[in-house]
Amino acid sequence: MKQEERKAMSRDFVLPELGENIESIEVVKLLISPGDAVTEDQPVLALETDKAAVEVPSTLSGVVKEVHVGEGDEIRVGQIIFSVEVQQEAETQSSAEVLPPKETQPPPTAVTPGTASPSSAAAARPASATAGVVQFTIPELGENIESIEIVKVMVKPGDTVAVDQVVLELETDKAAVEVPSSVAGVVTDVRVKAGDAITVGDVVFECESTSAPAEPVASEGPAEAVIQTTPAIKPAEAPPPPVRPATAAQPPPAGGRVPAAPSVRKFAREIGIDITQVTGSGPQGRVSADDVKRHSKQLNESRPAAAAVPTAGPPLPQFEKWGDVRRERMSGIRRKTAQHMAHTWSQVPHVTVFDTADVTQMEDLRKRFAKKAEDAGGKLTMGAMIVKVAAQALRVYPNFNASIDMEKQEIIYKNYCNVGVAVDTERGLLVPVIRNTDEKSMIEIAVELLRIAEKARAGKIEMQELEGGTFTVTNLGRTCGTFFTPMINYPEVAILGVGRMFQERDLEGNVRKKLPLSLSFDHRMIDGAESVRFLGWIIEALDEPLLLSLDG
Amino acid sequence: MASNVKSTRLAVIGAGPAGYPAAFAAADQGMQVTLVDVEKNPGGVCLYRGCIPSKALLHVAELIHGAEEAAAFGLTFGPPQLDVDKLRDWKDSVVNKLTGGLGQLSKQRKVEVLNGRARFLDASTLAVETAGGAEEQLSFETAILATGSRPTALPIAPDSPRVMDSTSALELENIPETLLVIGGGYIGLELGQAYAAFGSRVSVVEMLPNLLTGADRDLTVVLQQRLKKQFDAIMVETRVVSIDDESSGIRVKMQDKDGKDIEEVYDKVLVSVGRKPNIENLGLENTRVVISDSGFVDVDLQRRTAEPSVYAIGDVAGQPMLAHKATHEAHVVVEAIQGKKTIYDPAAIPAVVFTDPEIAWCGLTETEATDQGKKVSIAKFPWAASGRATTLGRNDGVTKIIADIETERVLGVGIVGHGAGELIAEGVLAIEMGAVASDLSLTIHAHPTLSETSMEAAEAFSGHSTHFLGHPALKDK
Repeated sequence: MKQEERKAMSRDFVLPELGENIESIEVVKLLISPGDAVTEDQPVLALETDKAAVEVPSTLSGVVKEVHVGEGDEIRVGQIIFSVEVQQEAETQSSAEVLPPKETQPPPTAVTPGTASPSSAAAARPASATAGVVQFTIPELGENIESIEIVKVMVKPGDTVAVDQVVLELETDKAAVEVPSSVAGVVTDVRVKAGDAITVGDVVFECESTSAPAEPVASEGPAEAVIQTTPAIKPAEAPPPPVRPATAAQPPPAGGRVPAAPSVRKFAREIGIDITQVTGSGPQGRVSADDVKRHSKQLNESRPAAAAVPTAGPPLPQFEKWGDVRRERMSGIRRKTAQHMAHTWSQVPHVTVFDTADVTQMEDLRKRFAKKAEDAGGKLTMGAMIVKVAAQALRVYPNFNASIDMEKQEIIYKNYCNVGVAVDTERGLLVPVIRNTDEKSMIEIAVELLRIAEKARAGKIEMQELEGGTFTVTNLGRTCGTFFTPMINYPEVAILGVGRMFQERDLEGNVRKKLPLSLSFDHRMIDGAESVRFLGWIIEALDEPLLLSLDG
Repeated sequence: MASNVKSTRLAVIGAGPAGYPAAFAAADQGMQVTLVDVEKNPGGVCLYRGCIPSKALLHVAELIHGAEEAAAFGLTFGPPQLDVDKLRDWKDSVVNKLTGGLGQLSKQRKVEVLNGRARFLDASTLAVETAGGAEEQLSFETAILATGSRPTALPIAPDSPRVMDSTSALELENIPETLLVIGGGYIGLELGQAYAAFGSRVSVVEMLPNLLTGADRDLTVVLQQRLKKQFDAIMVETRVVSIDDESSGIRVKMQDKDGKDIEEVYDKVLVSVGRKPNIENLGLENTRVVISDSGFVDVDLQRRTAEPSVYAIGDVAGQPMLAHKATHEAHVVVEAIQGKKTIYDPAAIPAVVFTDPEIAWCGLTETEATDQGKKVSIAKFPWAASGRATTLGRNDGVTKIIADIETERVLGVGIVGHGAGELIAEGVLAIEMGAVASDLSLTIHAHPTLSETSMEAAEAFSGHSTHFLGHPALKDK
């Protein structure tokens, strides 16, 4: 499709999944009307569900053509709310025709396999490629990625592009990502530009193929054939379909069937409720649909609420009233951090205990052995040394290495220890993780820490390097800040904050170097007394470095 | 070589009572469907050479006997004149009407019907061999294997026009003078009874101690009383040793449980010893589909095979090999393909033997309860006490309810008698809904109908049936 031929397209915005087990949704207020310009993420609807008041942001940008619902209407997930006229080159491209984008759907329960249909996002894409012309589309990037923004487009029409040549730089809400081409040829048409918000499956560019792409574009085949040519890029591969989805739903319960009408059994299965757990109110324990609903509500009440959509607070004032303002879109990382912090703060009871370690000896050792680390390719910082000490402490105090499952009322003890280190980058706060920290020496940790910190700052960190942490260390640096109340990196249960080193004289007049430490912990899991023992262990190891090798 | 590479969203292999409902349901949901079958119209074994033609013939058999028995009511007919050709034509017209109707429904639903034989080239491509020998390739996103089953052959049976299986028996070439039915299951007894009504002298030989193994004895014995009058011989616990085609007849040597030899020559023999799933020559080895030791395709609760893009339903997917189970699976599978959490999990599946009297049961049988050592409560209502049965002159019937000993929840229902096949539906619903016996006895059933027998049987759990002063529901059976 040449640029001149591109014309405005009409797209529908459908109501996405708002959360699990929501039974009724009513439109309280329409925030848009025909003729309005709307951008992605702009709130368009104020809804009242049987759980909460909710504002729903648009996933489309464009000019509102028609609004299909009215205030006071009862609506359902998947219902068309409004349609917009989308200009493909100017506006952001989002998957509009598609029912709830996969990322916002509640994760499939153990009841059924295969609710993930690989090409749901691609189902609506027009197959406009003609013979000889191939399209390159955004491939799968990883799980639970909520937004993707183009940072840089590295090709333009006329360029010759080869397979595996990096053509795009993207930023997801997790990390920056480089995307290599899976097609080769001469670029005829580039559909995206820096700053665009895009989704998996969107066409990036078209090119006149000089070599056979991964799969030929079938001229009469469905659109899916085009999209699936793009291979998954590192690190996230679409998980291979299970060979035997033996977990396909509950078999009849061992104790005998639960008495319930077929429609009730089906209903329970659909909403992910195990009917054998439901108490029936009917004669001889027969289970009705109401029993299932009641059970589901009870489960939700005991489960920590995970808002899929930000709950509405009091409206912001008109800041322009007092002077000029400038609005900027939140970056993917900023948005994710905001959500993460809001969730952690509301769910985890934080307590922080403060104390100071005497790191005079430690500092001395650091200077003496700095060269050794440098030769190995790392930088022996106090931070690296603290990470090692923390990892050892976690071995002695496994409660600090665990996670809590409130729903199942279980504590998850991990047999591995991966310490994450908070790194301040241009894009925001990232926490790359050192795997099996307890098995690594201080020098190895120093080397790895330097590597991943640099990678994170350069925007080249990979998704998997940000996952799997069991504990976090966060350092304020050397300029300012002593004690603080670091926020726990959910789903971990503790975090160690390091302040700036200061000097003071002891009673004999000697200069001692002191390091302020702030240990925040999840009081659901850990009690004060234990937190003090844990922090005390760390402080002792810092005060007297040999203890680390003596006692482990 | 492939002349064409087409593609489809959903390929359904086999257009029987598993395949065509699946194709229709999928098309109704907006999927592009291609249905592959060797016949021009959908129908499968059920419509072409199974359920439908046999029930048509059995209806005529019933008329013949009904006319005979009317003499007791003062209504006499002469001996029936059976025009076999006309009967065959009528039976064929029934089949054609129904299969033609399915063809129409396919067109209306825009289901593409490919006439041919399909086999898998891989997990996303079929090769379909059409009538002229040409081969088409069909690529698919999802496939449903619904190739059904065929009559099990008896190795010792010679290849002869006198040796029939259910397919040839239904073709009704002629009415043999004498007919030996090998296998006392529902197919053998139904066809045997039909041929007996049409004039053959029929004998049945069965290896196991009972006819209709699997059905409770107190139900089958009612049928057997009637069969004793219609069949020449009923030989149970008897083995067939050899079958020889002697051009003027088939010589069959048998041996009973005492070792006594039996030898007879029959005009024709009907082999009805079971059915086996059609899993051969389908190219399944080119996929990850697994066949279990039992010969059925291994499937999970959503009917998905070990190959994620292939599902299997109907006879090919396991017992019971019944058309209604196949149709139910078809609906499950279409929802599963759409990503819904539907599973195949019926609480009860009815089984019906369309002899006269019919036998029908669902849920737990008394035999199973005994085998499992499960303590149950059982209530029986004899049709001798049924008003409606008496008006029909058909008191040969029993309605039985098996319930949980503590809760009186209905676990199984068994019925023998005229129309049992229709009456059993209430029993299946009762079990699916988790009904207790009182639910049945408290529901008003029309009078005078045979359905009242279910209500009256249920009354026994809370005292006595109105019309039968037998034992209250037997406990601790």
